[in-house]
Amino acid sequence: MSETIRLAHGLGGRLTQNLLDQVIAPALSGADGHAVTLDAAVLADLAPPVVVSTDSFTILPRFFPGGDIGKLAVCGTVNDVAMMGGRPRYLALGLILEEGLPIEELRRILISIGETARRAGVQIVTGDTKVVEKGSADGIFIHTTGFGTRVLPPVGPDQICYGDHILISGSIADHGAAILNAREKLGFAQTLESDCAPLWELVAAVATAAGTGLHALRDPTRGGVAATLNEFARDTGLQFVLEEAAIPVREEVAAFLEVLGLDPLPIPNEGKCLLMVAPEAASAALNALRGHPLGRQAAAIGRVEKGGRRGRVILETRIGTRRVVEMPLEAGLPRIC
Amino acid sequence: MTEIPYRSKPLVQELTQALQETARNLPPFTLMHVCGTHEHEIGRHALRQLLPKNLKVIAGPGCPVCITPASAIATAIQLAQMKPRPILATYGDVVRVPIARGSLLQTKAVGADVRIVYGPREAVRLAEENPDRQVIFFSVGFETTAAPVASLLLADLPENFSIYCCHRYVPAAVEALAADDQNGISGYLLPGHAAVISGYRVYDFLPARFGKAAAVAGFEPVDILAGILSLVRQVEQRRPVVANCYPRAVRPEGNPKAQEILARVFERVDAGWRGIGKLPGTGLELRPEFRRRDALFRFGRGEEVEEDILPGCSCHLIMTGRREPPDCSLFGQVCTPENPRGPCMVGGEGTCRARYLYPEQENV
Repeated sequence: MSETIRLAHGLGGRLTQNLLDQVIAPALSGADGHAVTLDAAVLADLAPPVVVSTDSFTILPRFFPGGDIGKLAVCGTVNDVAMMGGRPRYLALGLILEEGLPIEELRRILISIGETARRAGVQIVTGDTKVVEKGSADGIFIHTTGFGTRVLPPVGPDQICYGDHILISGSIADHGAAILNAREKLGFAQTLESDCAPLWELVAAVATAAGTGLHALRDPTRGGVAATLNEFARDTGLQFVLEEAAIPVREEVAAFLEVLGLDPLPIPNEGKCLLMVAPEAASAALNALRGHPLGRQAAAIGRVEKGGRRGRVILETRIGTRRVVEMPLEAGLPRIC
Repeated sequence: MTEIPYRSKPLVQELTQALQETARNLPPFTLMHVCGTHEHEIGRHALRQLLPKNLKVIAGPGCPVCITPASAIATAIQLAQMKPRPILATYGDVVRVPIARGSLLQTKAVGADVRIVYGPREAVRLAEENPDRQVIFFSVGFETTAAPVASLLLADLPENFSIYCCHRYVPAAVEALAADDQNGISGYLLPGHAAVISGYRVYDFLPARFGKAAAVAGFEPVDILAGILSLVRQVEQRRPVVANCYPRAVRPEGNPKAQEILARVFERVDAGWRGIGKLPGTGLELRPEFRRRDALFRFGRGEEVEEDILPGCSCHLIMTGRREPPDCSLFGQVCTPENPRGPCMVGGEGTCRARYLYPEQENV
């Protein structure tokens, strides 16, 4: 087999077959009664209500401390299913490969997809591979669609009440800091690691502990905690008050962001969950989070109050002042003065 | 996270109380800072909430991205569009600065190779990685960023690396501002970063010639409040001096080595500040012996001509403390961070942008 992806790998002939048989199928094996090489799958045992979510992944660098584009492509989608209260079951996988991509690199990414899927309890049931000319894509783009059954009572912004406690399942800004450090070769210590992880198990544990006291969940990915809470504020008209001193940020991440003049609140996470929980269920939820390996650093970081004219997010700073946390505009850029 | 003493709540409360007491019997007065990072941190920690009601702290022309003339952005756009296509490297905020003919970001969208870098060394690395291409570093900023650029220019650099410089020197600009006796500013909070290079004796003209209070301050809440407290005390006692409230970083004479390197590479010239006009002695221009690194000289180009301010924009008034962002008719309506009409809405240090992101709403 050639060492890099060629256009012929996408033409449906023998090279395509080789790629499927030797690289793709072995990495993703483990499905009962499903072959990832098939064009479509019948999900006979998927009970309603079905939760479906779809996402595309184009991250650079493709490999970073704590993960890679493959792991991210599984986690991102299964977490979106989980945040709707759905237990993720199945994944459809689309690959867009750029001519010239080293096959070894593809293999590593696929192995990572397979491992993460097994860890997340999902089967990859169908897939598609396209090859585009050099320059038409950046190495590899991955698209995943996840399917699951909603097993939790309805959760979402419409369930949030004033008085709810705001919980976070662990330290914030790890993913964004790790990517920024790796992408820009800023040369900070390699202790900056992405938190990329599948969250369903953690969510199921909290849901069991909190019951109907669990009102809303969301993974604060792009735009971080700042964006997620602003979305909640917009959708509910309520006021979300954060206590700066209570928000867990790993020391090395805090130092890294401080040097660049960046605020941790808008920095992306890929393995964290924000939860809105009724006050009477808050301590049970927090204990359940802390009892799971992914939730050891979980913390109560604020509360939901009645809104004023419109919903908004307020930060009570470490020094005792209050300011509005706006919806982030764009990726943070280091400051020059 | 470890407790940072410069964000200590008890210290902040103590300073706040001292500020309230010192200012109690003063008529309304205004202080100006001239540093984008001061504005950013004042907003981020909501420090204006702690100020006495009769004290206003406004932002002067302290954002290097904001004050870079539109003509310089236009020139950079021209350089980026040359054939064969060079790599034009600059800071993230700079690419978004809007001028009448667009922005570097728009130029990139139509095919120019504009790269965002975090510092001059990264631009040099681009030159090393692309030996067959010309790499131009569009360099803006005050002496804080000019000093590392100067030291880089004294080192061995790849032949394909050149620089388009638009550096400015803070003390001369403060002098020009203070000389305008209509500005009604009682004192100046001086930028700690720039003073690390230039020192603070260089600001002696503020009390001596203009009777203005002055204090160099760092960037943590305690630093900023201590600087403001010093200014308020100077105003209250009518004894203006240049106080050093950032002694852990700033020495009276600054950093002589950095000054020497700056002087070897740059000469001081009169230079334009966007929306303000030419200020004497505020520009840092490459000396003739470094001309072969000068992108304009290398490619036989001149400065473009471009209007500094788009119609309706008040940035020039905001940067001289004559108008507050909400008093501009474009602010928050036509002019937003997503669609900036003037420089103050562009950079992270821009006054309008900071005010837009951290509005001082009542009852927060």
